[in-house]
Amino acid sequence: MKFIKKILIIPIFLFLVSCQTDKTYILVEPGKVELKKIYSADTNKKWSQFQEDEYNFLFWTINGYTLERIVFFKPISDGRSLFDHDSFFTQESEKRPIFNSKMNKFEIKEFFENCIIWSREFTNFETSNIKNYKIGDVEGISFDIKAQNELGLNYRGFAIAGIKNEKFYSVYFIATELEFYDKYKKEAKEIISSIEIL
Amino acid sequence: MKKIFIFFLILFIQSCASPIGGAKKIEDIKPQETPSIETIEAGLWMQMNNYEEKLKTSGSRIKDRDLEKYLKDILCKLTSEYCKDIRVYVQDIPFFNAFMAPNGMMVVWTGLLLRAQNEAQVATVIGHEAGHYIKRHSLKSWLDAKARTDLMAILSIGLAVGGVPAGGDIFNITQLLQAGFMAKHSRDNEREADKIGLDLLINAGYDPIEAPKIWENIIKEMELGEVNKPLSFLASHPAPKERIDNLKNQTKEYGNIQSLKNTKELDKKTNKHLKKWIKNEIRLKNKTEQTEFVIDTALPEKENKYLLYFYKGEIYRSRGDKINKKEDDNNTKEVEEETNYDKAISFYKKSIAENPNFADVYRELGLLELKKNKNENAKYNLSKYLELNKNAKDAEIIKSYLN
Repeated sequence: MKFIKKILIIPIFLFLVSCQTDKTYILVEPGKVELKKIYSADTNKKWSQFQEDEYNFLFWTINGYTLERIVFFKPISDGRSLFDHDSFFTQESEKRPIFNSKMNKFEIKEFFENCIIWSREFTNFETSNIKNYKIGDVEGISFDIKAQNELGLNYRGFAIAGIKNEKFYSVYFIATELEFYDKYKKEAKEIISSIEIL
Repeated sequence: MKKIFIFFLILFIQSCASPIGGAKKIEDIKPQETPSIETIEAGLWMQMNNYEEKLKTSGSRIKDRDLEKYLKDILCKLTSEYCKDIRVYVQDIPFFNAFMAPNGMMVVWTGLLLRAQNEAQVATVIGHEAGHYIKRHSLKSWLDAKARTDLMAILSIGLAVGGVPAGGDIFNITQLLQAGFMAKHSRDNEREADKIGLDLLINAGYDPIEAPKIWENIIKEMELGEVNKPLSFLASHPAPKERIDNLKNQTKEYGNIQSLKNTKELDKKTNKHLKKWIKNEIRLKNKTEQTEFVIDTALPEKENKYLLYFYKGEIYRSRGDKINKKEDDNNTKEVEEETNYDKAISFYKKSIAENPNFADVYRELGLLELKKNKNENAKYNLSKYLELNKNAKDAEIIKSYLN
């Protein structure tokens, strides 16, 4: 009997441990949400939130990352990049775009664009329609996104970015042009316009 | 026992030599020929057909069918016989490259088109790639690679059984040898393709002097960049210097040489992409001298001089305000320190001197002057930008800087 108890305790312990560590995705309920004490945002819908400490961002999605997502970048300081992982093309790793807190608004957009291009997630990535935009009390910018991936899938989206206390903050929404952009753009706009930097 | 083993090993290695040499017996592909379904070549074609289907809708394929048709027309000018067999695609990748698949799919990267100074230089590359197709080089390389992979795998095991320690080092050595052999074979193919390409180029009336020029520029670019040494023995192409000499020597063998360059024709087809391609080149963050050289090559015409200076300014602006050491006239000592922003400002001013009506340069100059606390100059230049670009979409932001 003691032996059976011991055998049972091990899988129960393993099960509990595995439940505790599996926090890659959590459910975001409608209402005001705090994201890792970096941003706050309001949502009317339920979203799945991806969060891994090793990544420099969190994202929300309903149907899946490749279909639609709102990406919240964690703040970065001078000399850092939005993506700190090494490039598949290792020789390019040293050439990743580097943030500088003295960047003007056009350079902020350029930095964001260069980082996404450097990540090679899209084969085409263009930004346009840059405007002044206040993220809470931060004087930032907003701009539109058009992109295409290697499979030829078209994406549309928009982003906000700004510098607070010499740190770079940015959030963007992107979705497939076919179906998902129109389906979620209103909700995404509302969420992004409710964002405050904490 | 060991001696007997080594004897059999040598016999075995010698017996393996024939499949490698055997690949050379493959004949040229005939126009409109397709491989029989039961052959290895048909399998390669099938794989490449699948790849080609993906490439057709890929996001990296440039959305300019007119440019692809133009390149296809160059191909047909070079070889009307194989015109129907080869399709040309352009991929938006900012490196110097082109490749040919065994099924007739030719791919040219935008980094190559940015560096080509005229149609004759593009024709040099297209003719070279057509040479690979005609000589069935992909099939030969594949067969050779397969034969050597088998040989080296067995050799590695053989060495282990024979009493030589079979650690990771041996595996690395066999891989290194294998890669070396394959590269050598590939370089032979490249030489052959160069020869065919030059034949086609000259027969089509293009100026053969342009063929080595494109390689001369690559050498210069390499010297200015981080990879400033000759290509290693593992590289799959002959060293550019060797290539230039071969092309120059081969040209001497021809009698009736014409001088078609078609510089304007190429410019007409590529001009609308130039801004994006140059931006992509600057984004690579290669050494500034290297990027300057590429832009010099891309914009050699006098009427583009304001753009040339503008983009040179962009190179330095995009690197942030680092200090550069300047050398005196005799290159003996560093005499002055100049920041990237100083260099950028100086190029922007040169651009304005060439074309005072180019709006974008005033914006960049004004924004840099703001950073340098030259507020009055900045105000003047940002206002000038708005004056020249009445419908500027970024007017709202510029005005916020003016206030």
